[in-house]
Amino acid sequence: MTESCGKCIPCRAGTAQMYTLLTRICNGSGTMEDLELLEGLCSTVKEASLCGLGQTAPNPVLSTLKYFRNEYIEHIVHKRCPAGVCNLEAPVEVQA
Amino acid sequence: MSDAVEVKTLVIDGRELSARRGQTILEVAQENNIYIPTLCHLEGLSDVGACRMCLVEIKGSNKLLPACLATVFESMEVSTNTERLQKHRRTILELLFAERNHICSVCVANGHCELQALGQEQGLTHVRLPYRNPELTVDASNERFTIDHSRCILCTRCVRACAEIEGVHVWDVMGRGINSIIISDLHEDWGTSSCTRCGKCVQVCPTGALFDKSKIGSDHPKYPDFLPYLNLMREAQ
Amino acid sequence: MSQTITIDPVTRLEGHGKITIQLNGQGEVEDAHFHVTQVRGFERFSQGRPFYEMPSLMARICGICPVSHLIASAKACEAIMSVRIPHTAAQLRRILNLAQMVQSHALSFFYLASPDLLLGMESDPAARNVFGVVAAKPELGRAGVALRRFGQHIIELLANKRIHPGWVVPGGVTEPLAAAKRDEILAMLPEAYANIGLALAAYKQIASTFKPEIEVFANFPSLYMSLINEDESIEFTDGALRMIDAQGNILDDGITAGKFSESIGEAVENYSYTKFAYYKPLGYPQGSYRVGPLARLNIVKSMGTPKAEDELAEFKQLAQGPVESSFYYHHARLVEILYGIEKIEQILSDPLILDKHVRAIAGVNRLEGAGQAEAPRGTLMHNYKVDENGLITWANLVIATGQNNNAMNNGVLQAARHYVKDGKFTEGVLNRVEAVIRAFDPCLSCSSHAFGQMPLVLSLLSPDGEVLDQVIR
Repeated sequence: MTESCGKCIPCRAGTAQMYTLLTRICNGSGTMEDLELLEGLCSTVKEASLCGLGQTAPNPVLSTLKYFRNEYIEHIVHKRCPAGVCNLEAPVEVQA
Repeated sequence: MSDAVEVKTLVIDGRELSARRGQTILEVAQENNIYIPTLCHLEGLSDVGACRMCLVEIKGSNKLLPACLATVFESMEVSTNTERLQKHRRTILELLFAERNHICSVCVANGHCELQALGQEQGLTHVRLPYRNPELTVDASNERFTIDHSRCILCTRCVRACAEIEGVHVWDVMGRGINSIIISDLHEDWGTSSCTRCGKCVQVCPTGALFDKSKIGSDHPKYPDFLPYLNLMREAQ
Repeated sequence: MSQTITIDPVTRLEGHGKITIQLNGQGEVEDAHFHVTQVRGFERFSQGRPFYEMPSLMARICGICPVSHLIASAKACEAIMSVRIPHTAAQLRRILNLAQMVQSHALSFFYLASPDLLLGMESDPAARNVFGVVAAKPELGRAGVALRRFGQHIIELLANKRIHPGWVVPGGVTEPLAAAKRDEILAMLPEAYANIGLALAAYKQIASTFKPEIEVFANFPSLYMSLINEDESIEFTDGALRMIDAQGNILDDGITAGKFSESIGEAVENYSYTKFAYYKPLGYPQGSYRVGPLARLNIVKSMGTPKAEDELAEFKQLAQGPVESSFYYHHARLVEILYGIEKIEQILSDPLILDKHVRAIAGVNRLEGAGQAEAPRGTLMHNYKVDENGLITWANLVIATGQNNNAMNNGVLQAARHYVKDGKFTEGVLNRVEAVIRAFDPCLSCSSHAFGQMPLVLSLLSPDGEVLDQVIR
């Protein structure tokens, strides 16, 4: 996100929104709709961005969504982080 | 096929068309009354391909290309309005509406806003993404015009109009990514900048970000159509 | 054992509020409060906006009296610009303000209050609404709908939009009046006269049956404040404020918007988001006063229009000195509707009304400005401070509801003491307590938002907060 130059919209605003949605999910305030939204957003950032930075920025999210989807769902449904990384004690709304 | 061939034939949305070499897809589409949505493009200014609204699909390629910049080649097949494109366009508009504070009801450009019109046209009924609500400033130091960063979509039309047409280059973009912001000169107040008060940037601004102070409350349509004529007359001299 | 009765929300008024009544161990009313339960924050989020955007921004406070906010806000901006607006613009704004007063009063009387008045305080709650009125008294129901349409249609004709028009701007209005539109308004007048005549006659017929309510509906001496012209006639848009005491003596006169904050202070109570305004020389709460239709008719010496003049004379007969029962807000409201229609007719005959000069243009010439107007519910004051570029640095609004706040609270207490005996209450009793608030026609949306579902919940609580009884309607 901090690497985005800001010229094209999908990369400038899209990566920032991806960060917001991911933060929400990580701190336990995410919903299944957020997950769907995140997937759709990733596809737009990937396909519509102007340069290679935006086109590849969603890759980590997309691959974890592909291989570790159950961990996302754990965060959302059971407010639990299977890897023990996220602090889900006090779910709060975070604005990136 | 060599470059010497001046006329290219191509297909846009199933229609067989011919075009001159070097023409962009957008130019050919507009000549043939095929609508492709645009936002940062403006007749008379150089194109930057930043808004990604005019992305089109080319048969045989998975990559989407901006119609304002992509030039035609022989027997290309272009689709301008596929489901995939519609989805991306709506998402891009959502990203714009959520990025800053676009409150149409109290905006000077309400009813004359290209962003608003695109939202309506693309069937954007609501914004699913969280609104970012950034706290942004208003620069009202210019005695005639105001810039409200809350309504700016960073299309850089003002930057290009000022640099390419008026030749002053007051406007530019500062910062990067989500923190990008339009500035005058080296981030000075507009009122004390080297601005010539020509008002071209106000006319080319697609939203209510740049507006004429005296137009508050009245209809504030913008008239960017003067640019191509201005260019034409300058070339003629 | 003490108890608290909660009426939440109070129905048939504009915005969202609740009433709590505290009972002591003997089941007697100890205290009662009217709470406005949501905060809006307009004063805060207007900061940093250009001042000339304020009228349209501030009008969004309310969908019922946006015009009052437009006018008070535009006048505050004109103080910042240091301009006097063209005569025609001032006259057109006056028509707009009167049209809004007519429609808002019609809303208050016919839609919100008349179910109590025409169908009875004890009537079936399921039918005690405007539809019940239309069913029981079709010609009166129609008159109410028509008077609202009359007001709203004038607003639409002048300003192109019924709600939140952008036509009123700092310096005047954006567009002059077209002759065709003037003629359309003139053609609407006869029907409006007939409708208000009907309503006044019906009100007078039933008023005598509400003697007990008149006695206890916020019926007490107080100060009153409203705008008044130099010739002591009623005024909604210009003029200056006058404050009278309970006997009708002039306490303060010629309070212009710029001097408003010298005379009027604001207090905060922890149970409400609406502020409590008071007359500074007397302090809080002794300096509490009433505004709105009752205050206006108590203060002015004349209406300046023939039919309303007769009605004013009759109104003044209700009491020696100022009329004290807030029940008479309803009466005053109807008189003002009549005045509004007559005055619109009068202003439309101004030879300059179609003049094309309707807007003065200026920049920032002063760093602070205030503007005041009479909203349907009472005096409204906007006060702004700006920086050199005209960006708002500070804003304060004093709303009619805030100025009536203390009177509403005392009125609720007075009615509750009278009606709630031995800890017992019926639906009809609580409706009367609500009806006290309705008499003031407060605009809570000026200080609060309504959101979500609005069921009325009456709960009877024990001292430790246990719900003893609950009625949901």
